[in-house]
Amino acid sequence: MTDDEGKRLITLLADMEEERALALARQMLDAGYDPLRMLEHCRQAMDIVGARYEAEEYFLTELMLAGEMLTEISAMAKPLIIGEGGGTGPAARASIVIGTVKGDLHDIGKNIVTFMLEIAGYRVIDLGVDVPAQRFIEAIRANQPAIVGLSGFLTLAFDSMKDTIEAFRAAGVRDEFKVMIGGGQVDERVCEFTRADAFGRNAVDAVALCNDWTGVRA
Amino acid sequence: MNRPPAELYAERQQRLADAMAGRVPDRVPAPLFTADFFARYAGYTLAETTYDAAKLEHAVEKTVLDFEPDAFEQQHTRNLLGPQLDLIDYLPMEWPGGRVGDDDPYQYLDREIMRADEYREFIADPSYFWLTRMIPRTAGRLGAFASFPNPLGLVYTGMALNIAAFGTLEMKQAMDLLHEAGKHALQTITRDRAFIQHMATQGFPVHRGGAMLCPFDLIVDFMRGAKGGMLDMMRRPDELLAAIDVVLENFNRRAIELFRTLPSKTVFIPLHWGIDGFMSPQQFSRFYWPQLRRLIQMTLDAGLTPMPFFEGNCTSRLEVIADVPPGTCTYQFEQTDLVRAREVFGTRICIRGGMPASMLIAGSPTEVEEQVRKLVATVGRDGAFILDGGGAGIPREARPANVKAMFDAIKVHGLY
Repeated sequence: MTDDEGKRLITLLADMEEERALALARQMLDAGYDPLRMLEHCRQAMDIVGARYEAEEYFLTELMLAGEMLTEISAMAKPLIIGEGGGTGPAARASIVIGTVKGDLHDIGKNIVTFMLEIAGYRVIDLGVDVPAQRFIEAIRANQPAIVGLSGFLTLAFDSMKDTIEAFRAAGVRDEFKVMIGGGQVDERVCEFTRADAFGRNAVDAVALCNDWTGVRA
Repeated sequence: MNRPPAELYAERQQRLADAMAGRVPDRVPAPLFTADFFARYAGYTLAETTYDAAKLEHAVEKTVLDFEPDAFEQQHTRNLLGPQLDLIDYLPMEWPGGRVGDDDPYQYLDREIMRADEYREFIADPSYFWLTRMIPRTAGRLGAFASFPNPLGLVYTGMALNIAAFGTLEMKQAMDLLHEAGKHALQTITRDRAFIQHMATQGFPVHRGGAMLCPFDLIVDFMRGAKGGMLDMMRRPDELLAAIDVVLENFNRRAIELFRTLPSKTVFIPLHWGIDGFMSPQQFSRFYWPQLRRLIQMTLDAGLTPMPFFEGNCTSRLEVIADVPPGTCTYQFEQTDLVRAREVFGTRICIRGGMPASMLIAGSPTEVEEQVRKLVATVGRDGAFILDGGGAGIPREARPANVKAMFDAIKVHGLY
């Protein structure tokens, strides 16, 4: 059961009422509200944000603002958590390693995908931009992901994605996970060219692919 | 068989002019637009064409002569910038042979340069703010500009006293450096003009002159960064709107004045942040389109042809952006549905694009030819169409055989 204050917080967060949401969160924590419970409210609010993004009611701005509010509230709540942290939400779904491929410095699309995957409950290991194949492979060995996401905005990323996937093969890890690609001009033909398993045109596609692969019903 | 270059030049010019005015030309025009295809095609690294005018010119000329497009674009002013950028140590950008590898392309770096609490200062006096705040933050070697005197203070005895900042060694070094960098810039421009003349004598007109960002994109790309700029729409909309107007009047209006003096009268306006998914329709109609529409009008009023390049997918914006005077604008698209665009625009707006980057890179010449045929039959059926690569023109990684297929196919299937 969510109490009234919790419900208000969820509504304010989901409705992008940044100032009021942060003020309420502060007030609740000052009055001794359970910080773990507050983080769970944040997660519930982000579910609503994600759903509104999928429904094209929300856009990039709202995702960025949601991310900002989440960071602020986490910073307030986390120091107050005593003992074992986390674990209030549903158990994390599969791990996903994601990054912008070597030579490309763009990350806006990748960041949206990361955000949406996290909302969807995945554990996302985001390697950043200009990521060489070797760093992907190290992250894959360390995290055993079910899915690897390769992002790229420039056309040079096509070759880079292809080379990265080839490097997965050479390292003997290619069959351990699915590879999805996306960003910029990526389409069906690029998917074939790079020998990825699938491509997505946006973050909603990415979440759908991951749910499909990991057997999650949307 | 060998027609005089002057005749070919005039024919190509007319073909483009007809398409851009919404008329039916003799055939669909296909100019060469590319950031860097020519370098790899001619066997150079990008660093070579970024630093060496002769290599750049050889690469562009070879590409133009081999593929015979209907026009080429100024490449010096986009590529021959290495020495200046090195001297200045310009930070918001990477360039081949600079901080990145010799064959890595130009890229812009997303970062916050102006803080949110500085809007007021920028709006009150944009040029002075730029001189004393933005330049020291973006040009590693021009930190001395932070103490650049207020020009309005250079009056009466102030003329004799407020110049003290120019007496420092730091300012002298900055000025000397600018002089050196400026010489390179001058050479870039001089060689560009000479090259345009040289290509004209071979029958190839230059297409696309000035380039500028629209106000919202300038603020997000080069002042506030992606996160700051997008959040400002929600957190400080009034300041953002005021800043947009300031950019329009102080940057765009002056840029347009300069563009009137350039060899080509078409103006390139690459658009970044107004695409589907980034902005809501409401945000687009508040922060983006009205000011872009004003920018288009300012460009038209100066006797120039606006050529906005709608990057990404802008299919949901078509009805809104259709509102320009018929026969005046060319809209270049990346992933927008061109058939749908044609339905919405009729021939009131010339549409440019159509050849997917992925096909030029990973497809076959047969597929490219088929795509050309399909585009001409659909988007190009009633004129007002310019064939181009559907990304930023022809990508560097395009297979030369595919590029050849594209330019050959339009000469066969593009006839009206």
